[in-house]
Amino acid sequence: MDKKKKITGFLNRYGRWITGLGVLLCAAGLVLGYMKPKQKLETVAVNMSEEGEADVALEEGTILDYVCSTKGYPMAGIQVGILKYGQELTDSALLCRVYDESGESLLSETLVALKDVDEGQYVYIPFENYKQCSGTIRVEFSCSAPEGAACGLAVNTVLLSDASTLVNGKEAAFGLKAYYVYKLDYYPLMFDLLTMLMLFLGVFLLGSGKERAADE
Amino acid sequence: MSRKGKIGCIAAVGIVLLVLLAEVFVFNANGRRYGSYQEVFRLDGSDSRVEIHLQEFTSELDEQTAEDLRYQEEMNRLYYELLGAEYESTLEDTLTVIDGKTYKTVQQAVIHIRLDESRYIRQLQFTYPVDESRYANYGVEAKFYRDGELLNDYLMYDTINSRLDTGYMNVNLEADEIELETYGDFGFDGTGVTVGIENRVQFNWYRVIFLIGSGLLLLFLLLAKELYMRRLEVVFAVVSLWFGCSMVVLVGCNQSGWDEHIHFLKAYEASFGSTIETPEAAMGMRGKYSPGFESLTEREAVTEYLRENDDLEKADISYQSRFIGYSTRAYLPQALFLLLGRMLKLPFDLQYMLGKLGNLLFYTVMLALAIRLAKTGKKFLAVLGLMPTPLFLASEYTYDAFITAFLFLGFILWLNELLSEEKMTWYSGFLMMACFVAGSWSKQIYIFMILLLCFLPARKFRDKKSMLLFKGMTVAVMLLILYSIFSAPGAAKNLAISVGVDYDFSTAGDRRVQGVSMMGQIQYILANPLSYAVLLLKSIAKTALKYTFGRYPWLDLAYCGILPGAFSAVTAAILLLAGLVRTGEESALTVKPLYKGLLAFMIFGVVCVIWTSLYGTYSVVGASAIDGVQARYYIPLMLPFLYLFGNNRLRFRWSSEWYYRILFVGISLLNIYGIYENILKTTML
Repeated sequence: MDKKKKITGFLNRYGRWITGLGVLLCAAGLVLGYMKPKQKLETVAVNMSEEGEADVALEEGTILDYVCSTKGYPMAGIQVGILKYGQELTDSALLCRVYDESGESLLSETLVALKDVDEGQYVYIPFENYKQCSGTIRVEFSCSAPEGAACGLAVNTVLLSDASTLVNGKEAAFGLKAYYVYKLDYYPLMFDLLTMLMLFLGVFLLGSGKERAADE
Repeated sequence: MSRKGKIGCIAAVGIVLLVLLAEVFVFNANGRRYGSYQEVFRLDGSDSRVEIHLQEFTSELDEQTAEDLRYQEEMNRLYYELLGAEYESTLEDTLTVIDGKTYKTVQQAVIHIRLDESRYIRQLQFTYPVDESRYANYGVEAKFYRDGELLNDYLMYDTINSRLDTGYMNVNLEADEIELETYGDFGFDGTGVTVGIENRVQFNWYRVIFLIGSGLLLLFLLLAKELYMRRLEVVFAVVSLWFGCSMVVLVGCNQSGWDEHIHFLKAYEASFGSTIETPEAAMGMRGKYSPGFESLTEREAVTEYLRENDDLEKADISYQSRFIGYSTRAYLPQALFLLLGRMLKLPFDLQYMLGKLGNLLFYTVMLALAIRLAKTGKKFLAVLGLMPTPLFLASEYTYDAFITAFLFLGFILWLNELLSEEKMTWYSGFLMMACFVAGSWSKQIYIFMILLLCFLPARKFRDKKSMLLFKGMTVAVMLLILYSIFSAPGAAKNLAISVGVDYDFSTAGDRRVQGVSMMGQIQYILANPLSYAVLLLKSIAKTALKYTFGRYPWLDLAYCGILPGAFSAVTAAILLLAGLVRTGEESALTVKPLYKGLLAFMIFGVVCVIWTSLYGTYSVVGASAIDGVQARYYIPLMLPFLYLFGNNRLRFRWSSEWYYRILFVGISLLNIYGIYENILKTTML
């Protein structure tokens, strides 16, 4: 019983400090957590049908434009199927540029070295400044390769209502096979910290040290 | 040694001897009388004692099964459309649809075995080559004859599991002719298939230990005297652990709990960090295709199968976030013990049982703590906590035991504050709130119980400011928990575009029931408030008695079975004895009428929320009946419910010890009957 009294006495004497510290820690945790969210990648298969599968070779001077709607969320990247036609392409790269709807503002530029890409691999191409890549965007693909070498992109004959594929500015009768990749921010501890904050706040005024000691 | 001690020892020895003698001379009487033998019949056409006729018949599927299949087809077709892929029907070859009706073609073999002479058949064994593609949905129905007369007018059916090479059926009949009918999706091929019959003496240690232990427990309950008054929590713990452990061991790796495969999945994943290793044995449990057993011999075969498929080196690897989600926390006691089992390198079947033991230990400790802390009504906790259903839930993979434990503890802490004249301390208030929050992690609707804290009288607080802050934060916490039903703040989400139709809140609801829509139901209720109110009140009234005093919340052992209806009288008697009658030594503290009214209102409110939530998630929009409400959802509310009956008028005439003996022995007999009839007899003989 003495031990129990010691513990309860300690808790009563320093109750305000303990609960106050709890409030501060939870509040600090919420602020920090909000400033540094965790991110989760979400991959959405937009057009991966095997219907009419083919490929478009990105030879020198060939540009493939993919105009699409990001479906209401900022797009963090795109995943497209790359074909090497049996070549090593050690000195080649796929250039991916992202423009806004008007085509005037360059939002992102990414270079994908092809030497480490396998034949037919769907490579994730991240967008810089991805938070601006929202709404309707134009993704431009071209291949920088020595003469005679070229890579290709996988396409099919499925045409989407909110996306179109153009080759050298002309609308094509095929669609780019692609996954859209999104980054979602989430705050795993927010719910718990909010709950704990409310609990500590709720009991904060339930007896200060002096009053409790006086009662005892 | 005292006289009582000597009587106890003699009685204990007597119990042991009686059970051992019964095992040898009663349970194994036929084994000894008819002698041991084993006879095998080959079904490949080479055994002259066997005749086989093959046939095929077509039967119409019942409406619900056909509807489920059509719904599944439609969902698959929509999913493929969403991906932009071509859909191919996944309907089984054995199914055909004619004029909108679905028919299944079943292959059947009728096997006739004539014995040389009449034999006592203790067990029949059906042995076949292991082939997962063929024996996945295979069954055998057996009929036994003597002198041309059918001996079993009841169904004897065994489902063959494609992962074991033998099915076992307990028969216990003397017959000279056996007829077996097989049911499967393919034509019967007797190559490698045999039927065996046998009789032998089999000393069933599970039965012996269970009966001895239960007998000794009853003796303990009869001899205990001061323990009831001074340490009721000890009596509770002993009874809880004995019957709980019996259920854990006897049920074994059979998945007998409600949605146990889903609960096991969550507990299993929670027992890992970021990398989950799932061997075949665990995958079978998760996917609900692991073989179960219905006899002692079959249990040995299942155990062998699980141990052979428990290689972590061949495990499926998957990944998860280290963060323990809100809906996973109720499985932590189970997860910790699963982890302990892996660390001790126990075989899978023992790990599985150890996980369940973790749940039981947590439940027992929490309730024992609540009993210890309670200023009044300790017996309510003990009685409710030891009823077969709550104990069964604590011995399986579920979250119910976690919820019940925390809600009971939270309620007791609240009641203690109400009955005490002292000011409430901060840690007491904190614990109360925390208990209700923890009890609502997996089932948010119970958070309404936290509103009891708002009705603590002003005298419990130092001043008005502290009272308002405490009650204000209580309401805020409740609203936060309720909000998390739709979306836990800050939690990781999936985008609507990636998961398609299933994510749409307007179609949210239990996927097992077609036509369910949460939003649609809410709209229906708002458009028809009066007719819904009538439906709600009628549903509650219709089930009020059977969901409180009847057998449904207390005697239901899920897929093990439910005790007979007559036992409802026993549960009602025990609950009323505990609720209405008090002993002379019991605390005179009772809940004031005003607070009884509050409790009644709270109970009714939560019951309405339970029914309404199931109407939204489990019933078709606009349905004239509310489906899916199970009596066990009432369990957390039964503790406050019993306090409504507390009074100082009705007193037990005899000694307090006998009052508690009646209660505890009564509950123990219910558990003994339930475990013996529904678990041991059906799966362990």
